[in-house]
Amino acid sequence: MRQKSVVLNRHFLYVFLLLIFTAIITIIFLSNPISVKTDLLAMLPATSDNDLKQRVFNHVSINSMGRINILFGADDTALSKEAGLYFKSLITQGNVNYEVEQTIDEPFWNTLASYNYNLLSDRYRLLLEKKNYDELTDSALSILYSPVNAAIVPFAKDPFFFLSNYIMESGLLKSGFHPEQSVLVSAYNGKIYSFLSVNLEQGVTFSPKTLSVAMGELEQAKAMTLERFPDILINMTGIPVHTYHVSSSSVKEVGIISAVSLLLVLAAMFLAMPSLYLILATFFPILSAVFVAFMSVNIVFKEAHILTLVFGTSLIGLSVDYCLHYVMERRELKDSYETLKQIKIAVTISLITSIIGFAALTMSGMPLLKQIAFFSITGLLYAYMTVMIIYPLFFKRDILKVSPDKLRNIEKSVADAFVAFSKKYIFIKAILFVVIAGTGILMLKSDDGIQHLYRPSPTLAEAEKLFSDVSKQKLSPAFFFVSGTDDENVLINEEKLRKNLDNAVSKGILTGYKAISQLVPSIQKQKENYILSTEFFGSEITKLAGLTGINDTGITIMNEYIMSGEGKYLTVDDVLKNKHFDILKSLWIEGQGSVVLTEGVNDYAALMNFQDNDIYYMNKISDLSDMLAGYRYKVTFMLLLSYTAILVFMLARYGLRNGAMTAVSPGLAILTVLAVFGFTGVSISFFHVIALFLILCFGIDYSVFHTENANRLKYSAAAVMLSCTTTFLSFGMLAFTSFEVTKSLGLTLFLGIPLVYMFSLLSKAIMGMKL
Amino acid sequence: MVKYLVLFIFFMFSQSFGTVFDHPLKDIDSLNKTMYDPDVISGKFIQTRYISSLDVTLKSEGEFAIDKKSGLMWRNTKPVSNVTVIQNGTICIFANGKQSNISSSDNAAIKEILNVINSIFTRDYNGISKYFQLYFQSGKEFTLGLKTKDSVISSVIQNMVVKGSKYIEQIEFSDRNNDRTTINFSEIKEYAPKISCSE
Repeated sequence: MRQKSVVLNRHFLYVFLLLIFTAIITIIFLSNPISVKTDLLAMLPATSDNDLKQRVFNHVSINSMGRINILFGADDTALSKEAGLYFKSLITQGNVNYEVEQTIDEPFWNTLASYNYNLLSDRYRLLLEKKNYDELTDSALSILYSPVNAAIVPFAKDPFFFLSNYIMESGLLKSGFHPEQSVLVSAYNGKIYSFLSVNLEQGVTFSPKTLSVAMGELEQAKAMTLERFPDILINMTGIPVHTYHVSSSSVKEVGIISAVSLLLVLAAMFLAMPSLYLILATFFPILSAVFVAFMSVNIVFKEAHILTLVFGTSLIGLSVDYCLHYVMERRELKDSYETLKQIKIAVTISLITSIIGFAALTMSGMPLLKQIAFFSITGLLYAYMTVMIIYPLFFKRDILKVSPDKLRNIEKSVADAFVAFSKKYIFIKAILFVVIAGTGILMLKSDDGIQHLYRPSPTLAEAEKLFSDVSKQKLSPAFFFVSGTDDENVLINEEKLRKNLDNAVSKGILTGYKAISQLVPSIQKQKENYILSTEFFGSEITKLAGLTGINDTGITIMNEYIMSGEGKYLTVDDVLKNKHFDILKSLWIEGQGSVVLTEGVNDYAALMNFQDNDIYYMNKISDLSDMLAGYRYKVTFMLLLSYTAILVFMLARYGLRNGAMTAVSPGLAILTVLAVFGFTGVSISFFHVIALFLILCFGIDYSVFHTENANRLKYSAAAVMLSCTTTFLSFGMLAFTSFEVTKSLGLTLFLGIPLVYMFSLLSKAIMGMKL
Repeated sequence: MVKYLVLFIFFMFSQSFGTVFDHPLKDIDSLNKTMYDPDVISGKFIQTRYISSLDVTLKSEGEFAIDKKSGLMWRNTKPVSNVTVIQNGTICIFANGKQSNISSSDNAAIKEILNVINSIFTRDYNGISKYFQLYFQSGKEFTLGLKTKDSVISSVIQNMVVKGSKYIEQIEFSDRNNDRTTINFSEIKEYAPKISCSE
């Protein structure tokens, strides 16, 4: 009696400690802002080998992450412009701060006009270097006497039309848009599209709540604009648009799937335990575990990633085991403490094996995996403590309406089939399995391309294509970062790179590129251009004057102008001050260097040869894809490591035969899943391998419960079957989502959970256990 | 009294001979119906260009051909000999036996300016009206006035006056630099030789 009292007192102490722990966690959590990150890249380790390169990646990312490109298509410029202005007026009244660029008040060449003798197109510079003066003078006379002569500066300032030629041939100014009626427009497929660029503040894209508000305002403005201008077309593109659509469609999709899953899970549980009280009691430790895990991640990591929540909720599937085992056993046993005693070892071993599995993920070095592991381990520990500490206080035997017979009968018929299966030719069947699974695994392909993680909806893909066609922007993910000791040195290094790129363009390695030195030559080059121009001018001006009748006064005026240009050089700052060149801001990192974007790359490997001490080749997509591939190998190795550790644990606990048979089912299930993927052509990625970890944990759970309760399988088997069914219904359904990450997880579990359950029944049959 | 008489005569004169820019065009379709608009045309031209910054007038002459389908050809014969062809957004210059091509297809701003000039010569009034306010006066002869409404185009062309009877006989235009160009057309035929950049 005294002993029971001591146990009871100790138990209440545990309850008290658990409540204190929960209260502390909740208070700390509530005093910090809740943050859920959606940016996948933020959860990956830095890909670059030095800080500077990382900063470049960030600069390029930030410049594209918050930009929304909006086109207003109409039959004429005026209507298109009016619709754009109306839209702009609507969003500037909203709650979100936008940086909106639309109007162009002056021709962009005004910025360049003062430096015309320093600015030479590559073609004209070559002609000047070769002293092919006649061709240049003849060209000037043709333009001068042509009715289509577009003199953008007074003839006296540019008699040989060097500036017109520079603007005409500069690769950087190649764009689908041109200024018209003070806005940027482009004509495409019989429509005029005016362009509006909206920049969201930094960080908005990755904050689902703020992005939702911003996109809500933009969508509302779009609807109101279309209502007022029903004949126009509004096309919105850019990373924030995709992020918004992915998160809202994912929420909707996962919401529907979750609702269906929940109904199915409730139905399954209700069939097994026709009591609302029991069902709620089962959900209590699970939900509190998820909540505590979420709070803990927020406290330790300052923010939780959306993928942590997706993968981490798998702990529902594991923690439900603990609950169900308690409930099933409690129905049979007369005392709470006896029940605890009965299930303690199995549940504890299950917890230890799961922790071994997840702990391996913490060694990966990947922030995302560390978070998932932390979330899962914390959640499992809390669920375990809740079942072991809180459950005994509430469950009384007489209120439990558990009917394990139904489940046991189902499992028995399945188990009997496995017993029959295991009796004959098991060795031949095993060899056959090895051959078939081996063939499938040999056919297995992998695909770690980060670009495949997201496939835009047909509507968004069409919108991106329209913007690409209208703007003539076909940028590739590869780019160069050019560093230098100062701005001038950066431009000189860029010009060196451009020689290689021009050569590559002529060989078809890429179709073009965007570099700021295409518009702003280095001062060194401007000086050379000026000397070349003045030499030519001195030689040819008299000839031009003679042919056109320009008198000596005219020659003097032109001479004075060219002389006044000496020592005046166009700078990057001059250009970036002009609103027309806003888009070029992404090409210049103040005080750091420049970015050269590539277009239509056909051979990425060839571009890598252009690197040197100041020129770095970068390709975020291939870098990230390579990194994910590296992590796939790493995580596969950790899976083997965890499995080995669990196997050793099982052998130590259950001996050679039973230990091996207990541990074999997840291995067989994993091999079968991989074989099925091989036969069906599913390419595995990092995220499939992560899901294999879950199969390992689930499978070991099922086998441990079977093995530990070998002498009283009636209740244990029912709990395992119910647990497997609910886990399958919860996570297998994710296979039907469209988001690649959840789809990979869902598909692997959709196949893996039933397989691991069946293999655990088979191993049980081979071990000679009977219900 | 004489002073007032002179003022009265001047007033009457200015009323009778007010510029075309006092007569805005309200309906482009009526212009399309009124103006004779052959698809092909060729003839001779004399061009004078006054360059204000140098106070010099450049005079040139030669032949031209316009085909709405294939483009514009401008052949200078005096004082220099060269041919300029504008076709599908490309400017081809033939001079001293050499050809140089400048494609404006990737440079939308320049392409647009060429489109405007091409629209004027090929009498694409709907195209012209995107960039210009149109003014029109007609009688035995017609006068079409164009005033730019686009800040970028106005940096190249500001005002333009097109005169003619059956065919366009004269085009005058000025730019922001106060340079003025007058082109007089003569011997106009509804025929055009093959216009091509590959000639």
